[in-house]
Amino acid sequence: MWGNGMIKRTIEISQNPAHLSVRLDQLLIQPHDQPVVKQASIPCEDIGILIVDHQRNTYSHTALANLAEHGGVMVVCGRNHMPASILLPVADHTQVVWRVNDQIAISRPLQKQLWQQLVQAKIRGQAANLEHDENLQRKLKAIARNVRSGDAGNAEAHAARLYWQRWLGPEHPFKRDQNIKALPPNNLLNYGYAIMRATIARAIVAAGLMPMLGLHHSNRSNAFCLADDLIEPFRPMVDRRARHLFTTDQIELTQSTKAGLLQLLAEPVYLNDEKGPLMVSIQKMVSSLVRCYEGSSRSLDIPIMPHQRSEGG
Amino acid sequence: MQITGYRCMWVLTMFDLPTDTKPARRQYTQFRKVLLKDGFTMMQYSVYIRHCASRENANVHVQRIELNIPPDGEVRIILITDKQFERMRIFWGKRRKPPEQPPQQLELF
Repeated sequence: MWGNGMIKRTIEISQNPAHLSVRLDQLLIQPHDQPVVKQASIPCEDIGILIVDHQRNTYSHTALANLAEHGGVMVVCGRNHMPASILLPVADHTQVVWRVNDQIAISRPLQKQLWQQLVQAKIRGQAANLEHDENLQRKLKAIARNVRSGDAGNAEAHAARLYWQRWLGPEHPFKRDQNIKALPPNNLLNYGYAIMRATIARAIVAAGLMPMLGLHHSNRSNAFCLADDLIEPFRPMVDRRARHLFTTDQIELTQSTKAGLLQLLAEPVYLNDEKGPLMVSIQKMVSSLVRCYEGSSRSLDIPIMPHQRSEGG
Repeated sequence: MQITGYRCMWVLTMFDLPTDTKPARRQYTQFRKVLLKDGFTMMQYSVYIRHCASRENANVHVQRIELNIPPDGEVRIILITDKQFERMRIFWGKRRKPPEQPPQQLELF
């Protein structure tokens, strides 16, 4: 297994409203309705992502600043438990090399090749979720093989249309809905994708890259273009977990259902035939992207789900 | 939910520092503050522990402590695995207590 030195903790606060403050670099979580002796203390540097989802939460300035200084990301949830904002740390200039120039200088052909790799990985992941429909599984694998540079033929949309129709099985007609008021299982997908996006954005910033400079997505009002590119291979992983929760009757975003989605970040995945936690594979993928920007590589290290390994991806 | 298969470690820092003079007490307070800022919690007087998600991470914290050893007194640092730690037997008066639970990767409040 790879070095696990980079496993960070995920903290989610939604059940009991609390006041968050910091003392001696430790995040203190003091529930509003409980005596002071019951406060929890977590080292800020151990926190990867803090998700806050209670209307009555309060925060001290130091809590926000200290978390950011240690590279932690804070996701603030609004209505329907949907992430409304992502607070990303600005990487410390002395510790990290800014690679903006490399990002801007990337050649168009390389950009298109990298996007091709991301789309291929996504479609293969979708195929891997269709164990109940071997025909469609084969079809998607063929589509993945034929993705062109820049996905000129828009294989992504083609595959998605087929995938969503059969993803939950023939007895569950399904239509993808990104709205914050979406019904199950779309609510689970939206939440899972948002968490993944925040985790990826954190890794991007930590590597000195600008999250708004994408490979494929390039909307001027989207601060997360690059995160939206890199998330593609991880979507099928979220889908799989969301489907499992949905089919075991965990359809509303209770804390326990959210936990089911948050645990994904620590799930084992395979990267270059080695096993490790998903959140670390994100960091490795971003490192491989940095090598591409630097010109020493033309391919991304993209993780796969454990069961994809046995069937040759 | 534990990340099974990954080697979580506890770092134990034990110290014996003089507190007979004012400068000595200042050293003690400062060292204690270093430990607290680094995420250690007091298990007993002069015995502090920190849970780390991996051996590499544990070594980072060990190195930090080593850089801040006070000039007088004795400091001991040892790494213990989760498995070893959970076998610790704790006696409180005549009653037994279980050892501290390792923190989970995912924590809900």
